Amino acid sequence: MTKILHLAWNDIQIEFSERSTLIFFLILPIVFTAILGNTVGGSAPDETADTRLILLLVDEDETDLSMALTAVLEESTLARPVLRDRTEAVRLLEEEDLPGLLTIPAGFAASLLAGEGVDLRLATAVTDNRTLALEQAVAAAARQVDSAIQIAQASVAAAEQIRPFAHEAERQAYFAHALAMAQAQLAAPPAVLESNRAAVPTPQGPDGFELASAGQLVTWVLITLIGTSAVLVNERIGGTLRRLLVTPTQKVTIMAGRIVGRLSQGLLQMALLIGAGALLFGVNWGNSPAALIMVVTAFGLAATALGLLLGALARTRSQASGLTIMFSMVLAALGGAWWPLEITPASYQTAVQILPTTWAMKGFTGVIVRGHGVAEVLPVVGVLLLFALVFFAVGLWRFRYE
Amino acid sequence: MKPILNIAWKDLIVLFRDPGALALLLLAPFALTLAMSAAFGRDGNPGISDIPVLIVNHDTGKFGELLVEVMASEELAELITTTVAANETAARASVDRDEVAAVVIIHAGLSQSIIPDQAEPDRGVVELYLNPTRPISGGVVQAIVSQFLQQINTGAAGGQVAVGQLMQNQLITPAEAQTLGPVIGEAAGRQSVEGQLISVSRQFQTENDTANGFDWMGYMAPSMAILFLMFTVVEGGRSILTERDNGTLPRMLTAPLSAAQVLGGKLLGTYLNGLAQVGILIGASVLIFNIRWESALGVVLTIVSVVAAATGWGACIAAFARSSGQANVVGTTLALVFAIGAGNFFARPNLPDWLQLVSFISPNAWGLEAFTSLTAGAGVSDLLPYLAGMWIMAAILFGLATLAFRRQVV
Repeated sequence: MTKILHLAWNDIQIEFSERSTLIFFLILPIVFTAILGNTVGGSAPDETADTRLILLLVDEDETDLSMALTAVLEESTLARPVLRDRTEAVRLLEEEDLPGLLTIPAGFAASLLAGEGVDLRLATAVTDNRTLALEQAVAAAARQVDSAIQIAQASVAAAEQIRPFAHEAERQAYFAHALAMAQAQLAAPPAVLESNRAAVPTPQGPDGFELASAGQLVTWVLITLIGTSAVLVNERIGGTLRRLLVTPTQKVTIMAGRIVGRLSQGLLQMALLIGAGALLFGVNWGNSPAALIMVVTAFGLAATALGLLLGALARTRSQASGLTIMFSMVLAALGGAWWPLEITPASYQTAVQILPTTWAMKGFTGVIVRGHGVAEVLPVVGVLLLFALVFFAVGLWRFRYE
Repeated sequence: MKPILNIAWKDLIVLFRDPGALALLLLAPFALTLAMSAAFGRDGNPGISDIPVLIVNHDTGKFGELLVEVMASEELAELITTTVAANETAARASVDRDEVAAVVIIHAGLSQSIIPDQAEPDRGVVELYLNPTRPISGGVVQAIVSQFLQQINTGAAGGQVAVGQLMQNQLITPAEAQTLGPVIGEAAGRQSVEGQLISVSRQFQTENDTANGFDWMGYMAPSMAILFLMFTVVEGGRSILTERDNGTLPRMLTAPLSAAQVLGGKLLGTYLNGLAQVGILIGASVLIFNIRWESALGVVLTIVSVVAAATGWGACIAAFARSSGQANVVGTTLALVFAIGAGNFFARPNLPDWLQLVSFISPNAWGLEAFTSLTAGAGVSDLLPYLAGMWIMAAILFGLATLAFRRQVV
């Protein structure tokens, strides 16, 4: 056991003798988390601040109906309408990175009252994902205004069936009254939707940094641990393994030392990234440190074992280094570290169940987002340990010391 | 010139004979592009389908039943998979176990709230118990239930408004109101969905106000190629230092070759490697993903330019690094920082403005901007600012590298 620890400590010392190690170990993961966290959604919103997306609004109609649409939009939980003239709105959209511009065209009310369709144009910045939320907000507001008009028209039609109006002014007055009643009714509907989330560690749900932290942790720790392959190939080519074998040390001890050394680095990296995430970005890593430690350890073992397997397969340094970058990036991306699996097709979600990264992400998001405890993470930990077992077995079987 | 070409050709052959290098050069970017294609499809729109949903109906009236029918309807079958559950506690536990995206709980009294049998009916409630690890799926379920509630609320409001007005104007009696109300209400509710007058269309606002959409694969395929191009040029720069460390560079210099010829050959080799890599990846993407760029010449010029700018960085790293190990660390760091800062992992418009600006220090940003323009239908003349940017970058970096190399050789 002492020999194993000596070998492991030796590995750690060699790795950290170069200051550049810290770049990949800590600095780059934090930089990536900072940028991705901000891009995905940033910190949890201050509940007192208006964090709704700004919707530039150009009202070319300026009628009661267009103002009614604006009023409904102001009640939206997603969008905050900001009224501007066309020139200013276009300038703001193009120069200020605002997500969308809604134009209520001239003739909006006249067309609706005549029973004709109207197309509201929502101009957006190309590929901006905030625009999907804006589109949803505008569509919901449009539906509400639309419904009020439909109700008023149905009311006018019902009255006309019983007794025709004496003149157009009477009809319009009847319609206007019906419209006002409908708008009031729809503002306080008889049936409502209440949404509740399953128990989460943070009451407002996960923020951008919490979503990005787990993915970045998995990506960068994979690079470190799959990098075991490069260490083993280096030692094989450099003859260190051969030289160690002439000492009174068993093969299994040498291999265990190397694996423990690398695994320790991965565990240390995860501990540092978890700490940095909590301190720098306010990431809540769940309610159960024990569950988190179990997921971290199981993932560390699976990734180290994969590194050993690749180390057994690679013959040259460049092969090992190429395979490390390729496997860590592809496995991280496919397993849901770069984008949430729920937005992918069902067949894709089923296919990636064969990857350890998919299970690692399940474990980390379960702990962060749902506050999973020891009992809940056991299945994920079990699968990750199974991956570790298979990779270790095949890796050791295929490994050549010379 | 011939010795330069010989050295460059040798480097190209060596690279393409190395399976490990090929994995990094071609396989990794292609695998990532394939993964993105499988995940997002051609247009980058999420392929959400078969969202597992449980529904618990405590309402005894017709509206609860109607919502169950809507959720289990053929129209929504592809998007959501709804299962009726009798036990609310067990259904909630399924969300807690991450088995379903949401539970729709129809509270008792929903139907009475819409067609009240008393003066002050309680408000009807449909509750969603959402899975926090599937926020997007939850949003979809929320949208479906919202639309249903809007329809029945419209129906209720329609009945009340029409009947209220008819009674106010003494066109019907209170007895007639009892029978007419639900009929008018149902018609208004149906009309509000079927005869929707207002539509919302999303259009992309580009500089020239055209309505070009975003081609996800047209962005991601070159993006992955450029990301891994940086690894290639770093490896090229590192190989110069490795040759120096191993003694092959001094041996080459004892041959009738000038230092400039040797370094020129090595850098040309790196350039050709990059050109082959990006060319193959872009060519394969065009064939496999059917990506179409209007200007083939524009694509070629962009590839030639982005590889030149990237090779400039490779040359600089080799010129200023003290060892091949240092070149590897600095180069890989730069490659990754450039990638995250320039938008190789997600579309550039999603990045903060300041980062989009700063990222023009990298070839990645210029290349991505050029490819995005090509996707939007740009021709060669539209690309000129980007091509000029990349060549200016290449000239500055090669200039700096030459000065540093000269100092080393002297």
